[in-house]
Amino acid sequence: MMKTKSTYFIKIQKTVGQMFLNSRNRILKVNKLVFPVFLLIIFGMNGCGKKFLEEAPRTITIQELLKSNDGAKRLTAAIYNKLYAWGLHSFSWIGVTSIASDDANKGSDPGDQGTDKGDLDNWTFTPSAISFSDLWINNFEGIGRATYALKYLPETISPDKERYIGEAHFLRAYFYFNLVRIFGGVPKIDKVLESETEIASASARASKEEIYAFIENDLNEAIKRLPPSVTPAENGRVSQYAAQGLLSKVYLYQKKWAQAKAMVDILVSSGKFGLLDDYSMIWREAGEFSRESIWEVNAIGVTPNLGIENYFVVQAPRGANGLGWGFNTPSEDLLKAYEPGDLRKAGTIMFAGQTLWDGFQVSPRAANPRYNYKSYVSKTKETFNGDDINTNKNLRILRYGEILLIKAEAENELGNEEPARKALDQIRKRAGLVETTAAGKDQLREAIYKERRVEMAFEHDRMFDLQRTGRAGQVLRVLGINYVDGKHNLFPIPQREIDISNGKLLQNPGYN
Amino acid sequence: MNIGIDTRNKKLFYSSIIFTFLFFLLLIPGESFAQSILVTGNVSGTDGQPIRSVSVLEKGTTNGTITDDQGNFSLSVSKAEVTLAFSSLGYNSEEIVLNGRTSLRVTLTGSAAKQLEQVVVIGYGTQKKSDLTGANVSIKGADIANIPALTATQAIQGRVSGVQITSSGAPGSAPNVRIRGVGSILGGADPLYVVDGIITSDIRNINNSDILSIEVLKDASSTAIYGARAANGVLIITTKAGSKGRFSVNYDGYAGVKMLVNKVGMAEANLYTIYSNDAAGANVITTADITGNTIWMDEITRPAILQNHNLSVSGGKNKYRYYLSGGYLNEQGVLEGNNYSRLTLRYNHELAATSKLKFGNNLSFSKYTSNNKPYSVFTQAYLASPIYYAKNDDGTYGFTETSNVGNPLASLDFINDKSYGIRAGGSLWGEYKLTKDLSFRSSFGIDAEKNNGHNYAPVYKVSSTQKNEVSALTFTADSIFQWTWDNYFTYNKTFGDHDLTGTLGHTSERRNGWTNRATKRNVLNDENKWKLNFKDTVGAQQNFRDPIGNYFKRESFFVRVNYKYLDRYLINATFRRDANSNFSPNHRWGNFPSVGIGWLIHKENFMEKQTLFDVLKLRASFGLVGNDVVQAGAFDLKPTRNLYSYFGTDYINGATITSIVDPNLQWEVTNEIDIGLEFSLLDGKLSGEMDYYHKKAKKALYTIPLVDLGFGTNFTTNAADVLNSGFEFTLGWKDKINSHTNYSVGVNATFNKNVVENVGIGKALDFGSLNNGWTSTRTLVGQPIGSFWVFETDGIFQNASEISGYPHILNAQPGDFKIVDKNKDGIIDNQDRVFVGSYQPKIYGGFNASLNWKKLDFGLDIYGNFGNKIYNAKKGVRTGGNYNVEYDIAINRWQPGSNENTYPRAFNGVVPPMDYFIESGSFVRLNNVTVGYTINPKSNLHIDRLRIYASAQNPVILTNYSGFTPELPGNQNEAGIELNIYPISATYMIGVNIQFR
Repeated sequence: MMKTKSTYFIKIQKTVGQMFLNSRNRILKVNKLVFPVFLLIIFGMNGCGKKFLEEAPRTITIQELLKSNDGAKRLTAAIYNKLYAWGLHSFSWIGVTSIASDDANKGSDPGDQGTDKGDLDNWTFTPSAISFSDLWINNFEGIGRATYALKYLPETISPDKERYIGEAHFLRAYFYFNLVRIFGGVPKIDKVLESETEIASASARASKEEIYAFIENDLNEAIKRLPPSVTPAENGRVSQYAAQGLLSKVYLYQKKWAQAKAMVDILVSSGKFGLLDDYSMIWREAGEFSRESIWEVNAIGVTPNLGIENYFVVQAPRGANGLGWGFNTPSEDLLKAYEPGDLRKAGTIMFAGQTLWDGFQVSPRAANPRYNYKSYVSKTKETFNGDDINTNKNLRILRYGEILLIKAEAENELGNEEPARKALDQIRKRAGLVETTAAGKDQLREAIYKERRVEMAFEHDRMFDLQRTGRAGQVLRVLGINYVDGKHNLFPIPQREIDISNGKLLQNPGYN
Repeated sequence: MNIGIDTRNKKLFYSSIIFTFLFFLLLIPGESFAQSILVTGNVSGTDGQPIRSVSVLEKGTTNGTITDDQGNFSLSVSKAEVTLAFSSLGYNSEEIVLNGRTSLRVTLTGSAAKQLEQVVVIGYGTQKKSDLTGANVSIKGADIANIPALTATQAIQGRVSGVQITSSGAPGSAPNVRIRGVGSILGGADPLYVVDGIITSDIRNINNSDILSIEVLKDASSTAIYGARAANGVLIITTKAGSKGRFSVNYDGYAGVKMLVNKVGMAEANLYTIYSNDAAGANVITTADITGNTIWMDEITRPAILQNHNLSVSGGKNKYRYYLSGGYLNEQGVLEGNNYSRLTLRYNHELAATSKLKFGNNLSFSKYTSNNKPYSVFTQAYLASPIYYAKNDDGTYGFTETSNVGNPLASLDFINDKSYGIRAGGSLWGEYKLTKDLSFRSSFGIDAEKNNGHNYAPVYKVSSTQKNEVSALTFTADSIFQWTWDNYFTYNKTFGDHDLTGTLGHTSERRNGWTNRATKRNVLNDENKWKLNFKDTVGAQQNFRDPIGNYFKRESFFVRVNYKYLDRYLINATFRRDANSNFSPNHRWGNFPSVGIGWLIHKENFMEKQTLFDVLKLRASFGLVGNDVVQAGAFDLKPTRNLYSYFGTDYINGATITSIVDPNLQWEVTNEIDIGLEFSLLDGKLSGEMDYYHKKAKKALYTIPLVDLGFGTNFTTNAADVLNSGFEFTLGWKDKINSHTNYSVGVNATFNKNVVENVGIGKALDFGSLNNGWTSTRTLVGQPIGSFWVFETDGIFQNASEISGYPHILNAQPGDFKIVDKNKDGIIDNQDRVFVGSYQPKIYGGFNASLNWKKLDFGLDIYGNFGNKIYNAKKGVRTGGNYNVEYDIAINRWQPGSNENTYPRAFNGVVPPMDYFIESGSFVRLNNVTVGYTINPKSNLHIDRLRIYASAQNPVILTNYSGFTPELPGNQNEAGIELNIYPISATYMIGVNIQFR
């Protein structure tokens, strides 16, 4: 059998071979030519070598971007993109603004520390904790993108470039506001840094006051350029009112009461904003971009979905029939802060065993007794494409409820008790509560602080609120936390940055 | 812009495939065999290995032939009583009288002096081994063909000094190959592969059975001809070409089973529960939660089947040679559901069209399919809670709400990740003798790849945390096309005592390709539907298109001059001028010279009297070689894309610049010095080679960390110097005890010292993430690349008063490690961390032995490395809740009053890197042991040679390491960390080699 096969094989070889031999003579004729041709080609290639080695860029260059029709939009969208980042608005942000405060506990299982979240809850963190570096890096990345946009936007061909410039100023101010609240004074970036040496020389800290001045300046630049309001087709973009609202909060943090009042009054008197009747609706998808909304991060739950990474999963109920990791759970202390009949409690806290608004039941065997209701996403009654990492949950950064509270506080500090009380009662009324009984500036101040806590629980404000008003130590020590005044009023600069800066970047007091 | 390139690419791609197939059909001329008395036989060396190209001549006539790659020959002789003369370079000649025999087995004794006369492949040419001035090692294809390994590099582990191979157990994976240490911190560290003249970085498409030889080029004298790509060493692979005078059909096949070697003992359900509750300080797991007791590693692994079949046809006549082969390999992974299969076809052909013109081709085609499972399942099985059964009686998957680690078996089952693709390519070449001394060769090669993959997540629910609510499909398609065109002259002339060989040439090269990816949700669970068209957008399908990572255009000129005087003094000079489009126009061209000298001492007159040395050769070389494996266009400041955000419902692809770059980025340059001695004694019984080398990479890529101010976390520039220096030797002994017994033993070892000498303005680079916020390695001046950098511990705090009297981290509790305050500042911080060694062995080497006794052959191959460290990282990742723990750690854990001083208390938090996790990575492994038996079958079976063998690969490993495997390949800055690894397995197999006629 083998023999037949090989014979057959030889036959094929012979036939094809004949073809080869026939062509051989022709090859012999040409091969005299072949050599000179090769030589020509070699030297030819050398001649055009320079051109041959030019490789066209595979991805868009900055020049192409600036000249393209949507260049300005894409440069600006890249800054907004940071608002969805895990390291900016998710786990680390939750940890520093909420878990560290008296409103929330770490939650989850006792064994699951969420890297450093247990340390944040107990105030036993070190400068190496990942939450601080996440927040440092991501806010600075936002600042870098805004700074690039401010450099390049004037060169774009967009007719709308002024507005985009305004947005870049606004967003830079927002990122700096986050940084100054967490770390105090930080390096001030007012131009694009192009080399290692430029970055090294820019890494010393500016004072807290300089940063606040820089934020104010950015917001004023934004106010000049932004439209008063955005159309629904532009939802998520910032408006002039958003800039004025944020500026009022920036003034509030600096105790610039008159300026804060002036800014909130623009919003209040505009008549464009109001409180939603049902507090709990604010955090539903149906409550997105409502009349109470001033600025929110526009998350979308349909494909291509884009959300604040894992914001829902991190805080969703854990354990039996769970939806997530169960972090950032409402504390006993917060629970007790609500007055009887306060409707906001039910809008803020969900309980193990509870049937939620969409019919979903939190298991009675959930790992924790309470969870943050404001972060809840309905998989059945809201848009949801199966990806619970990127859900439709908009982060409500600034809303009218807070504007009224800023007004109340500013007016009270300015000695205008009546308008302060009026603003406060507007908030209380919606919560189903009677008018405040606080009398006098000091009592009213306490009432406003308390109202701020319950109105804005889990809105990433509580920790900073305690620190800015100087109450953090007194509040947290009652809860058994070893809060050290003069150290813990600021969080530590990430150790990595300190190490790399060669002594240029100095640590906050008490952390060395 | 993109679409234009794509269409052209596609056309090129398909035409290249058609072109390849056409050549498969072009078979060669043949002539029938004239018959009288047919004598067949096999020629082997004293080591039992076949010898190819042995001249077999009917004495007194011109009738003759040469042996093929398997050492076989067949010759038709006129009478039954003729004498056959066997001669070959490197062996003593032998004459055998037939005396009527038609089948012969011939053993030629080697002559080391003569072996130096053999011709080896070098860059752009061939050379007599004796004329080499560089450190080259040649490995015969026959030595690796029967080893169960996907790639040739895996098969040469432990056989070549100066070459360190680290393999993973994953089917379809390529091993890490490091020649004379790790020479680059951030650039590529892999050697260059040259397969039949085509430069590539991936040889997984090459069937080991098709390989004729592998040349390992280790020093600048031999590698500098490859210029900017030579710094990590070069492996030249030459595939078989068939041999003149004989038509033969060969079948080689083996089949076997693979099994996990080491298992790590985990806590069983009760111990786990006690430990977890102890760690949490609460009863987080109750006895009611315990529904089973599972050893997860057993659930996810299996004995895996491996098989490999190769069939080849080869032959030739005076003017042509051909080799045609097909191979099929199917390898299951020890991980359930994981397998890899590969089909290879090859057609090599050479034709002497005239006395001056030769041309030929080397063409190959391969197709692979890989069912991938994530390595992380091994880690998952390590961490998973043992308190429930993998599957319940009703077929559903078990789970527990008390752990957030999912059911590992379910994780495996619900992953549908498959990649498949084809690769076709090869070269066409022509060689023309312009004059008696001068010839010109041109070779044009292509390499075309098409890779596809799908990853489908079905809808499933195991538990509330392990589930998928909406199905999702990702489909990818890459197409890559590469061409290379070499043109060079070779001149060779002897003038009296002077011998001169010169090579002058030019080469240009282009690699291009694109990756397409599409994702879609709500796709049916039907594998036939797991393909997406990249133009569709229905169902919110998203399509992405990106250039492949390593595209380039290159152009080079090269020249080499070999001069030999009196047949004993050698000078070899090479020079290459290289350009690469991946650098900015001002920094595009580089020069890479080398010079080597050699002295064949045994040919000196004063050596004539002595009888000890057959060969004594001294050589030395110096040269500059480069490493230009950097990201394409890395010097260019370009916007980062895909920074999406939504304005209303408008999904915007944001783009902006996100980091600074170094516009002057360049390749790395390595200065290499090599001094070598080759010798052979006692009639070739003892031979050896030893080298000292000193390789200093200058301007090595280094990351300069930046304070994060929004302009990048770091940037890459040419800043570092890395030194690898060492000594390596190979010794071999072979002897013939009697006419039917011979044996050989060999040993090789390499002593390498790796140190980072300078990092410019850079700082330490930290790598080796432990998945808990800490990193474990640091690359810094004065240390080897990727050294482990950890806290030193000094036992365990027994009580609170001990803590207060000792520097400690915040929250330290009794049962925690005492971390040593190295700088004695009273604070425990990173300043207290210490270097405790690296993954790089100080010594590695191999031992091999073979014995042939009559028809039995026996082979043994041992590999070991010493002085390296391992970070057993999986033990330290405890950030999630209630991870499982190793039995030893759980049972011996510190408890109040226990006085335990080694194992800490039960703990679920973040554990910093400590010397507690560092273990010795030294091991000695029995790589391969083989027993074979050769049968000379009856002639009417048309079988010339039949050998059956049984072999065990990696059956025994001696190590103190407590994890799954001490062999942990990885990126050069973070290897040797056991976290997500695929453990190496042992293979037991049987095989057969058959030669038909």
